[in-house]
Amino acid sequence: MRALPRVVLLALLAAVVLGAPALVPGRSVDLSLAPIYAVIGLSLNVLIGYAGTISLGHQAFVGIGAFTAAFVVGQHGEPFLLGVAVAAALGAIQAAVLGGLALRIGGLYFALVTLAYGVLAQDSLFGIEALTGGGAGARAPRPVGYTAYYYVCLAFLVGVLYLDHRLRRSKAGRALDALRENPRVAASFGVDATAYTLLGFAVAGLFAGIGGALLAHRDEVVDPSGFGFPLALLFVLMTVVGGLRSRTGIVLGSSLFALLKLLVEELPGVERALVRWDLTLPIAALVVGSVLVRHTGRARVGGGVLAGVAVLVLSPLTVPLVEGQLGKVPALTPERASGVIGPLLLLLVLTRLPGGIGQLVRPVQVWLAGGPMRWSAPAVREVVVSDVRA
Amino acid sequence: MAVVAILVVAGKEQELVIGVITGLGYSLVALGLVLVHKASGVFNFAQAEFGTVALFAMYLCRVNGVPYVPAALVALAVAVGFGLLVERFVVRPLYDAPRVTLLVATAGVALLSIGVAFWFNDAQGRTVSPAIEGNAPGSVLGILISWQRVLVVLVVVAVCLGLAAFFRTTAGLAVLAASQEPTATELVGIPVRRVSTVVWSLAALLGGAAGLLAGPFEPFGPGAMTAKFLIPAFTAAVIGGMGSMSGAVLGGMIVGVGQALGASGSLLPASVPGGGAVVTFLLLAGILAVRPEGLVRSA
Repeated sequence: MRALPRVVLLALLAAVVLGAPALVPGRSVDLSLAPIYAVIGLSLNVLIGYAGTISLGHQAFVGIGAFTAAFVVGQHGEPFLLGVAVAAALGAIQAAVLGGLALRIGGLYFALVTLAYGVLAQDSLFGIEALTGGGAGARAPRPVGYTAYYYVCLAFLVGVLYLDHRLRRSKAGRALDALRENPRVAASFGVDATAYTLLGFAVAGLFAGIGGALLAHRDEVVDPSGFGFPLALLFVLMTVVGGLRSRTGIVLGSSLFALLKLLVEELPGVERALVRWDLTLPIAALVVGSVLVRHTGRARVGGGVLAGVAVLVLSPLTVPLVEGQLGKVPALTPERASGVIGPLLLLLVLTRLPGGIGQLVRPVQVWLAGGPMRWSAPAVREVVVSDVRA
Repeated sequence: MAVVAILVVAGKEQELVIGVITGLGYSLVALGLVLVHKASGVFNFAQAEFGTVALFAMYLCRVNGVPYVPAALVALAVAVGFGLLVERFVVRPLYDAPRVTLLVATAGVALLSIGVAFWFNDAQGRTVSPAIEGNAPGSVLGILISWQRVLVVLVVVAVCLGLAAFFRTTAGLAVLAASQEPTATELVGIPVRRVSTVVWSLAALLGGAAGLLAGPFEPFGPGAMTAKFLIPAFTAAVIGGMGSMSGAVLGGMIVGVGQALGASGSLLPASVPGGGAVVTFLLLAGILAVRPEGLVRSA
């Protein structure tokens, strides 16, 4: 009988994931972005979380997958699955080449190189007309209907999750852990740094290739302008906010960012709340207040709460004052919201909650697995991106 | 000199002259990057965004009829204010955090700034008019130079002289000391955190100036300076080994000329676009792989 609540919760979760197209009818295209971003987040997690190298050019990894799939399926009329396979393979190869560079250039400097690589891909590689269709974009027909495609993406996500699980549990996963902690010590214990670093990159590239191919067939037209630098930052953001090395956290974090627009549009009241300053300001005050508290100074938490309450109480007075100006302030539309909320979440996670969403859901995860429910699960102290060699 | 001669013989005067001047703009951003990196070891991904913020402030002032010079001063003040905010709310809470965390955090700041700019504006390009319209009299190697480009050169020269003088003052020496030995600097009574404030406002000033100077050349939108200046400026700083001011200026010119040559289509087949980005990537990866300490001895 003790298992019953767990089974109910699991069934509920499964129902939400599987029944999502029915819950928000007509939004299957938007929904399928969640598993796709989750695959991309898991890919970046292999680099940042496992291998300890930061990539700021991940949009190039994904873009190469997308254009490969479009080239194979759209231009040559091969089947969808072959397109995904070729995209994954090519993604792995290009990532391994970049990994060779990472062996020589470490830490922060490699981040710069990946950044320049991303721009190179967008400006140059993706603009070669014979391969990508240039500015007009490449066509990538969707193999099945919108709703069915959501399940296809889910299936790929499950596959990637399984591969990731196998990687973690294998000798390679432990080798990557050792290399991240201390490359020299690991090498002196006989861990082959070159081979395992390249493997890490190849796996990341493989996942990114799959993610890119899925993205291409979701959008049906792949266009170079969609793979800019902000996208790479968004990928880093969703992975860090999700919580490095936490599969659940990353899937949740990535889905959150993928569905931000949908959530703002579909959840009642959210869209209105964003344009209503009297509602948004107290929340903003709370957030700023909690950011100010670095070392859990409770007095300052209280200060933040007080400021929030004060703004709320005063809002009948202040709102008429700003009312005239309100017309001039553009509404925070769903498209604009993710650009503002996302980075705020990132800064919040970096300064306040190093473990990200993964840490938040950890107690529930333990409980679901049959363990006791303990909300005071050990917290991640250090910001986890510190694992990157620098 | 030899490079200049070769380029002139090859009929690339246009790329050379314009490239050098564009590159000096990169140098300005690169100087800010080097300053912050020297003082706190941070790779500041928000450096170019200081320029975008200044540009938007400038645009708003100009649209509301403020004359050029006051508008520029307001814009620079806004950029410095932004820099101080970043220092106070992002850099200082992460004072003891690993440098990579700060890299991600400053990237987050850049993204937030772009997001806010999109919120209040649309993506459509805006233009600001230059300080003085038209071309300067005379020419360099047969290439006409606009007044705005003359201004770029003058400002960079002034900034270099100013920085050289600054590092001879007590405040400048404190910055150098804090960058080399933070603990010992603290021990002799220099407030290291205030040094950090000084450095970030200086860096924001440089970034803002770069934005104002580059603004009139092309229409700009949210994140314009980050898109166009961040990577070239980092490449320039890396050419100087991330530590040398003169190296950063030289690096900027190298990147500027390299990009101009790459974009002119003399390096890549015509079917491959984006020569400028290719050159930048090759320069960056090449320098880091072959000579990570930079081309110039760090001062």
